[in-house]
Amino acid sequence: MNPLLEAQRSLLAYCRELTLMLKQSLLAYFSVSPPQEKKDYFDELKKYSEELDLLEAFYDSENDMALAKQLHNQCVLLGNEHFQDNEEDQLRLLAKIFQLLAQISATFQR
Amino acid sequence: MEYAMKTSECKHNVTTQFEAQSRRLLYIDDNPLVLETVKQLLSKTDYHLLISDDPFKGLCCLVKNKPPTLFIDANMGKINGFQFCALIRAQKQFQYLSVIIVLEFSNIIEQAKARAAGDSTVLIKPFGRAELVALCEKTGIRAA
Repeated sequence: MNPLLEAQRSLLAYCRELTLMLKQSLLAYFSVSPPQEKKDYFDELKKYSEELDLLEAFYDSENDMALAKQLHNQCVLLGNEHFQDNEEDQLRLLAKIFQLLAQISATFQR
Repeated sequence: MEYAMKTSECKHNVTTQFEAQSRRLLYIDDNPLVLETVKQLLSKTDYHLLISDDPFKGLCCLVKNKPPTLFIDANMGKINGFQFCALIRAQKQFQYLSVIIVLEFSNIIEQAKARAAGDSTVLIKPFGRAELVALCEKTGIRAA
């Protein structure tokens, strides 16, 4: 009956789906070796995280921590040569991505 | 005068350079045939048309490109035009936006819903180039 609440519900479902697809792309990115496949998954990561960032104001207006922007930035960093060559830094970056994904998923429950 | 319409499909993540901020419009409809028709209707104008066949990807396109005018179909699967309108009107950044809700037919109930969803204009299908262009001009998009 309330169009805004219905819209927010649909948007949350869409964003939940985006986080799941992002997680799948992340797992796939680390499980493939051919450069082209890796690039394709990296592009997906960037695309999904950018969408989450662009939609953040609509699903989490009370929080000004810009979690999705941080997530997008971290995903972009994955493609950086430094992180590809340094396993420990890559691990740290990946852990940060999982933390942000968990925080964003928590905002969907509010 | 030479006319050239530029079309960007947001779903393909196209980055565009706009000649004039004020001539941009975003059209969201989950029916690709309608989008194709709109493309053709505006093909000999200098409006910069952004299109999306998915309302949430369209929302991303709106946030990213901030066109001054939005056309949105009332009946879509994931979220309808009235709900979409309520969602964007709840955001301060989109209070400037001219929203045109496109209806299948003239119906007072649908028109009232459009008004309740936040001061939106309605356009009834089917519409022609003259109607579309007139509405663009009326809602703030100025042709060069």
